[in-house]
Amino acid sequence: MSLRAMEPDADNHAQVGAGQRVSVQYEDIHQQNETYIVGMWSFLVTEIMFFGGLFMAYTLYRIMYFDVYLESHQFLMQHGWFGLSVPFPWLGTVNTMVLLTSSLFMVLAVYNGQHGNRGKTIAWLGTVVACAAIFMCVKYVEYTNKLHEGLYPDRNFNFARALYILHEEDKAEEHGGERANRGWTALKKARAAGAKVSEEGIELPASFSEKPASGFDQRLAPVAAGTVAAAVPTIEYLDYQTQANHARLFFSIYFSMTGLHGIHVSIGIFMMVLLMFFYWKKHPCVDDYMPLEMIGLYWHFVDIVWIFLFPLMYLIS
Amino acid sequence: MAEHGHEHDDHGHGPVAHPAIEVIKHPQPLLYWQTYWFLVIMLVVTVALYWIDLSKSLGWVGWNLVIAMVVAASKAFVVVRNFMNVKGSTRLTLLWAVLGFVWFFLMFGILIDYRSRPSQGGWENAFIRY
Repeated sequence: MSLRAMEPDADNHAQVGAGQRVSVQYEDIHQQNETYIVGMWSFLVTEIMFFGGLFMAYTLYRIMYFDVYLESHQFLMQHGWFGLSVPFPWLGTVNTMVLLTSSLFMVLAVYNGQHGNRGKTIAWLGTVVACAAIFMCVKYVEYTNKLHEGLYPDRNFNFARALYILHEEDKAEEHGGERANRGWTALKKARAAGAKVSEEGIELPASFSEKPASGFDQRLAPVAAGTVAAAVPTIEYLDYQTQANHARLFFSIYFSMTGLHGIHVSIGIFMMVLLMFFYWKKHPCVDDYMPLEMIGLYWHFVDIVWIFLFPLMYLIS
Repeated sequence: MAEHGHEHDDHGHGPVAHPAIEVIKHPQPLLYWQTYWFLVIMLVVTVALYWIDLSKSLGWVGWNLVIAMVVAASKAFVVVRNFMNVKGSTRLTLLWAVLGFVWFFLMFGILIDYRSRPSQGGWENAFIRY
């Protein structure tokens, strides 16, 4: 018996794909389809565990350093957009909406693929790719903002500068400081003690001769002569510094989780473009709609991860 | 083809379907659109929950998070059920889909460890301090 010896019943297209054939090792087409889908689900279970560790880390540090999480999530908000006086997570909300819509388009692509509507399948897949591209563009804007504010947790991480920018934005909008800004209060006290906030970071007068603690030096560029970048030796500054380190932890988790999610979206885009190409070429591998169905399952999983990431990262209250 | 196998032989054209094999049923696009609008409404609820402070009316600061997570879980549930078609799939698929989330929640059991040793930087300190 050849691999394509058996065709499913002609009147059965509602339950099986239009061009599906049974491979020799299966009892029938239903068993074959179940095998595909269970195989994909077993992969998705490993993906759940993969993201699970990060969700776990998020939960633990959110419980331990809730105040700092509350403060840090303000940096994911957009201030004064569209005349709104309160900060709103515009970019995060748009991205959530885009991903939910792309999931709908994906099931419609799978539906058409299953019914053998090749043209519509390509068209719906195109809309999914477009949504995914919008998602990545928005993500790019978000990431560049964070990098420019000095919130990427590498050696240029500068919570003081980010708080300063946030404070200036806040002032420009002239609305009350309703948000939690303990870091900012501590920073103000530190400045009163002689510290200077600049684009380069925190600068101290040379009269502070304390040895900089290890891991403290977070300058973007060498500071001017006569100044030392180090901790202000006040309780307020140490308090601020602790918060800055915890904020760094928040942003590490933020960039890990959204970054890993972004990698998944990119892989999804690649796979969908590949599928569109195969459908366009009438490649035999897409006679069967199962490859499309499995990429669909993957895409919905990516959507589910974002469904949890959005309230956890952007909407801490 | 009958859902649970043939009543008769197919005269050598192929093997008789095994009675244990289940048929995957596919929903119509209407269900997809209904699911989508449910997801959109739940997104509005998620965002609204950010501004509605439930801690005063319900007496615990964590209620906002709990309800936000319940909303997110309901969104994930309809995506898994309708979009990923676990509803129409076989019982084996359902088993796998459920297992993934069971492992996920089992992992959170390790939080008990952090909860129970404050002297080593557990979160008990955080509660006392703030």
